[in-house]
Amino acid sequence: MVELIPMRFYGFDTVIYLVGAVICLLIAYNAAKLHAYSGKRQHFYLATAFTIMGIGMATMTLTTAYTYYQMLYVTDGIYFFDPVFNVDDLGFWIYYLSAFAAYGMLIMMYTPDGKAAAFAPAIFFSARYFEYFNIVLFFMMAYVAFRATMNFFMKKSKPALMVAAGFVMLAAYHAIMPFAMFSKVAYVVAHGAHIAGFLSLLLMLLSTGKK
Amino acid sequence: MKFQLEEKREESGERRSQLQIYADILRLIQKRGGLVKPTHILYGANLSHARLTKHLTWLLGKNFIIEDMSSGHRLYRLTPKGKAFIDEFKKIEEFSDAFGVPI
Repeated sequence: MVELIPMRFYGFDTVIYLVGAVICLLIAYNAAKLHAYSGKRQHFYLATAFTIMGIGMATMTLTTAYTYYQMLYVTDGIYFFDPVFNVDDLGFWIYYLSAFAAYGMLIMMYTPDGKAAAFAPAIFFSARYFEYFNIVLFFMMAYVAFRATMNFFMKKSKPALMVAAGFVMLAAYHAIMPFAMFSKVAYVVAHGAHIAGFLSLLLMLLSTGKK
Repeated sequence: MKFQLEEKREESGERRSQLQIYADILRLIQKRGGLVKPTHILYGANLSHARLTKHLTWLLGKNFIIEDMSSGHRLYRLTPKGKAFIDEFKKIEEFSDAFGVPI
């Protein structure tokens, strides 16, 4: 973490996770309301996906905040094998698993019968190549973004555009994150895409809430 | 609440869910000033008599509409609860459409 994140960006990613968590839970609330009316399985998947994603983001908020606090105010120096990274790693893996489950649910939402088999290939690749989790998440979100983009071209509405743009940005986040190993700028750009994606989803929420 | 039946929307070829039919009936009543004859709903909502009776029974049960016999004829009046449902339905329909998942 010390190697990958620019010093001046410390804490900004925590704020991004917090904003993302709040937006995810707001969408989950609206989707749950939608499901209460319709009783449709797809709406259940939508509500559950954003609830899980919100929990994952909230976990990252807490663990990264703890890590930065330890690094900046408690420890004198930070070392690569410092135990503080155990908390950071735990939060990261919870986030990864929650994102995997949430994206899987979004894929199921876009399949005609909402069958779990729709994201079986992702489970296989994730289990086989778990070290490339961002790549797996990118392909999962890319499919969701593709379906949302198709929906925008059919509906040509502003909320559909906001959803499509939001999912494209989330896919971009996962695509750029692996490059953070080579460039600190990539970490900042990836998180910029992350917050842009969630803000786009928030705009959708605000535009559909108007009477 | 679960609504699994769907009926054909003749003008567009799309199928509308039972929830959309309820909203269509309520919008139709609202559009006609909040008080209509059953025949106006029958033709306006493009439903068979049997289906319309079933839908009106549901809407009456939910207090979205009430029967008004004050003029000597049976009329249906939109209630504030029915109007609130129309507003709420518009929001959730837009939200659902944004994700491309039919309501």
